[in-house]
Amino acid sequence: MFAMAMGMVAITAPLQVLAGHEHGVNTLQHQPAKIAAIDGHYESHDRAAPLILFGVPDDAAQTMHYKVEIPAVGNLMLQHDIEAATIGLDKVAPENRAKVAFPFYAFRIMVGLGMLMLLLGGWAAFNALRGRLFDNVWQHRLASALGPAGFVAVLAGWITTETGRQPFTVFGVLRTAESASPLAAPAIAASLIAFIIVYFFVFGVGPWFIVKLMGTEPVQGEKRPGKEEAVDVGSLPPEAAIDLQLAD
Amino acid sequence: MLRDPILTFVWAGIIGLAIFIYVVTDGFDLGIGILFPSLAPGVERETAIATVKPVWDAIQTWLVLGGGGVFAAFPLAYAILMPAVYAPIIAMLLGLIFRGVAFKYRARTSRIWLWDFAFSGGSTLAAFSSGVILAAVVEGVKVSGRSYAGGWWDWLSPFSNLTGVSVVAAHALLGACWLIWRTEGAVQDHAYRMAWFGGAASIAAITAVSLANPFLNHDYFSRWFETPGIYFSAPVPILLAITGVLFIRALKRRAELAPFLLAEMLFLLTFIGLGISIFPWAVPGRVTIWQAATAANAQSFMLVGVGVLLPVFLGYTAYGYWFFRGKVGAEGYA
Repeated sequence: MFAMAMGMVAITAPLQVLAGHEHGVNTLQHQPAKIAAIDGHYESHDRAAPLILFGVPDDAAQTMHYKVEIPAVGNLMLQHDIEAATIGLDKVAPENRAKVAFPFYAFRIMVGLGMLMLLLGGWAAFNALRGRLFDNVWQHRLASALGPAGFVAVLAGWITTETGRQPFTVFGVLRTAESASPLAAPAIAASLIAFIIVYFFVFGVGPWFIVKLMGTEPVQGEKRPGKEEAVDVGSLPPEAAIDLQLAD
Repeated sequence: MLRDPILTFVWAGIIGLAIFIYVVTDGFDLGIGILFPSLAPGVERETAIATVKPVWDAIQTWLVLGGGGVFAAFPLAYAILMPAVYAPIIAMLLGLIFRGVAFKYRARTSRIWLWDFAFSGGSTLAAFSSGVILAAVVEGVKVSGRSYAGGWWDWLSPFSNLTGVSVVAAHALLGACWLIWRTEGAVQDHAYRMAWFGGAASIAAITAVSLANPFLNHDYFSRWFETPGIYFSAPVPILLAITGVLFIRALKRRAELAPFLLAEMLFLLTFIGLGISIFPWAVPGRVTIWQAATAANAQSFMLVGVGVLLPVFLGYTAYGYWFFRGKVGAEGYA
């Protein structure tokens, strides 16, 4: 099971990085204002925009405080050309700008987790090649710590794309305020609260069950799911049967 | 925006078909949920659950196709009707969530009573809400321009409550008849008793709703009681009466498959009756399906997708039912 999960990470994490990159190129083409918000670029640059790694966005002052940036390489990511121009939020009409903090932070959470998953996949592949996949405790600890990473990264990505598109529902065509339904606010509030309660209950039970499963030690001769018989040691290939006996 | 009347008619047919298949193939497992409190814990409940366990989740495809189809092919109808029936839609979804989760969790818990309650409560809520939604649409909603203009409690009326209760009764009937077909011994005996109750309640409910419906507005009345509408509509109540009589006789001779098929027939006839009342309205009295339709190129684009998917849906649904056929014990299908 562990080997299967690590194999999955080793394959899908790089694929996810590739897909994310393509997604970014596409977004730059169709929703440049979203990319500006994600990148934290309040100002446009004619060439050689910096790559802002971290910072504290301030929409009122239209600046990024305490920013940590790599000069000049901001265009390499999506345009693959240092000399290309970069559109900042100053090129976007004030009423059409997103609140930068949401997409800016959410994007960094998503990408950060993606990089950790990439690290885990590479590390696991490296260990597996040396035949030590099951021995490296620190790699196992990283894998456990990244247990919820998939859920968190998906949510962060969702927040990035939805808040980055604001104030539009359909970028440049339909504003969110125009697409709101005629429903009274109490109706929406009531259904939202109902869904929150139900989801907390239902999704609370799910992880509780997963944790209970994770906390159960593997036992020899464990019954398979469904109606099949317990695993018969005699029916296994000799190496596996010896492994099971050694484990006793 | 260029619309195509024939394409629009085809899409109305697809959505009608999807909703009908949802009711026919999902109805009995909601019904089993409704009847659940009357079944004894242990063998009876496990057997009843086992009869639908392999097939219940595939068939919700049809609900998605119906709802998604209205959204994509008739966006104006979706925009008007969704806010109008918002509360019962949310209630129905929450009911379906509880019911679906209960299927998975009740097999893995020591607190089985809790998930049995979620299963039967969710099923009953979903069935009742679907009846309320149906009734609210049939009763008509307030429209101003291209959007809903009513309040968020407008769906609540004596007629919508009557229809909600009727749909619960009819689903319970379907569930009982399904159990008659698929079980033996004590469970089947119990199902026969439930089918008598369910049948009596359903026939009373169908009669009440059918009698109330034409008086909701004059358009419905003329379709049912004045020429020329009556020539098209009269066969429906006559066939309903015949089906009812055949159903009672089938129960008396303890037939096993016939009650289920006749109960499904009752559903089909009421569905056709509903169609006679509201066609060609998408929002009764206000917006026709042709006014609510999206552009022809969008509809034909989606038709390609449905043309591929519909045979796949039908194929796996049929295969599922074929694979899990015959009588069922508490341990599941043999």
